Amino acid sequence: MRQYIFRRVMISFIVLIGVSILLYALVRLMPSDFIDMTTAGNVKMSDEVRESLKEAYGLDKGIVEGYISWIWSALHGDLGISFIYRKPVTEIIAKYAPITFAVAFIALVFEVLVAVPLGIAAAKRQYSKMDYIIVSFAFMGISLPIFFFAQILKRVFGFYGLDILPVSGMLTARATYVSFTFTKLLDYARHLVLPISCFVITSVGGLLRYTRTNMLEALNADYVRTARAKGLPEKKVINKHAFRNTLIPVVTMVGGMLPSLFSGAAITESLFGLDGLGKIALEASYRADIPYLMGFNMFLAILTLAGTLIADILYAVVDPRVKY
Amino acid sequence: MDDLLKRNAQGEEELEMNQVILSPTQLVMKRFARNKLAIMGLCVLLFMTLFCFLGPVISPLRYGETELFYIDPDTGEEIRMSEKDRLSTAILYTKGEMSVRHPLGTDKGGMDMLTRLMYGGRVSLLVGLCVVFVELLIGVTLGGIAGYYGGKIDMLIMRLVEIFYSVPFIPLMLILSSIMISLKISPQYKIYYIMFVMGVLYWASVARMIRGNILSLREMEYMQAAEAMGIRTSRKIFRHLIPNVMPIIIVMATMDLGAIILTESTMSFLGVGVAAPYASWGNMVQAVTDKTVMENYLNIWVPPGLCILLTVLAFNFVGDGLRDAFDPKMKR
Repeated sequence: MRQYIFRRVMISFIVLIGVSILLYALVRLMPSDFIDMTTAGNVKMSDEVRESLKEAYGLDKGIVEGYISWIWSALHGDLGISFIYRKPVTEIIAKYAPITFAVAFIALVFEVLVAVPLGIAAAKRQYSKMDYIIVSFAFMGISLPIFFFAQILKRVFGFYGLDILPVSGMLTARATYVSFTFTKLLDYARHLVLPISCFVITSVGGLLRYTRTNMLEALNADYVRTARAKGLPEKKVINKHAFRNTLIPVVTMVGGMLPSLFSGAAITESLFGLDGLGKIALEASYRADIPYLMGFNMFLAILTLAGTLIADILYAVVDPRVKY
Repeated sequence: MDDLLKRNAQGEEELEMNQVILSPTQLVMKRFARNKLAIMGLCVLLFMTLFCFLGPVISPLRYGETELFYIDPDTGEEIRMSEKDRLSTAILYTKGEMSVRHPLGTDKGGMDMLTRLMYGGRVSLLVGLCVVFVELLIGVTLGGIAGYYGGKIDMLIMRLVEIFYSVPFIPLMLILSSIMISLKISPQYKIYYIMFVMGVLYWASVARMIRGNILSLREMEYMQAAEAMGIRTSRKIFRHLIPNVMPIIIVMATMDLGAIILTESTMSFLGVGVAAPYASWGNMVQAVTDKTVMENYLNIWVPPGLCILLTVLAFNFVGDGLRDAFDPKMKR
């Protein structure tokens, strides 16, 4: 097992190098760099000043040279300084990651709370009306374009509709809170209702269908027939025998989703004005903030790889039959 | 007595009907037809295809995709772009109300909504088809090679898959879009490049799936038998392996069609995909960022959103129905 993990981590490292080369090449291929963009409207800016600025930002180097210096400092834990924010990239990620993570984590909890019971209810009565309704609901969520659904939520609950929930930001702009009180928490909660509903509804379908399939498989297994044959009450058969075996793949999947909670959803975050990593990344892509883009995207790549690794390890942990 | 005989004969006939031996394909079709949701999805897709590809041709309105409509400020009479002599005093007929001439009104630029909805759908459906084609071409080939030969080739291809798998998609598309703008690719052709790039980025998951399947198929008894009979490699692949992965490929392609339409519309919404003046469902929803449109002109931003939802949902239902039909035990 330990050897397996070690091998996987080593392979991941090679993959990460590949990802960083691909990303760096693309980012540097962007036509107008940060200096060109910020100085575009400035008539006083001479070409010489521009060149010296580029030198200061490290944009004068070629792609290969720039990549080598980037990876050298990245390996030493230094991801450079963001052009837009003028702060170290690691500091920005550390500052905004908790917000992104908190929102995504709450959403994940709700997702599990909705998906697991509904998935099991659907599997218990396969091909019943209930099953059709639940499965259609799951598919509906998967098929909803996030940007469209977010706007509908805003229109219905926001200022132009029922006017009961705030549609953007994290706190009411006019309110000031001296310390962390209950009212402040309530204000956060009110602002997060719509984005979290948006998250949950658009992504609950996958987990729900996964639960349903695995529950169906468990219900068709021999041990369930045995349990029924020996006269156990149906409730016990489902809750003890079938459900616990369904949990194996579900736990694995949720475990694999954990790292992705940090990555945030750029679109949902920017539509609802949440100060998360995804929103900043979108901004950085528009303005060619190379250090942040590289740092953030590599962070995401690490999380994706970590997610699959965790899922594989958890699979062996919860199911002792699996050996690596 | 006669009655009884007749009924008997009828019964026998029915029995005979039921004993008709069905080919696997017929079995799949029969099972598929029993799934109400899938049939509903198929109908929606058929309707959408007709709506988008035939609609602009057979509709009595026959407006152009980028045709502007004007209005006479004094009389309120509508003027079309072709009436050049009257255009000098006219103003654009923007955010027009729903009427007989414009069933869904006109948008912010003074173009007919219903017509643009049809043309926008063409883009979405075409993008879906092309991207799926590219991703299957690359994914099936590389995944098949990796699964069949194994060893070093497998190792190499799978690392490549992981690299593509770990590259974050949306930032990448934003970067690519700005590169495309600098290369001065006209909005009309941009969509073809986007299709190609999306296909290239999406092949990784296809390859992974195909490889996994080929790996398990390779261990099947009939493959050992084929090996023992000493038939050619190409024949082994095309006669035995490909037909057996076909169901998975078909199901995956259908589901991916939906997912790609969703991604394309998101890209267009962000201003990366199809650019104005050309229509796509995604960039039509974008009108919602204007607060007055969001509040008062639901006819401008809700229909394209609903079209995306319906089409993607239909693809998902059909894909799910196909999966059930091909193999009831297949994992969802």
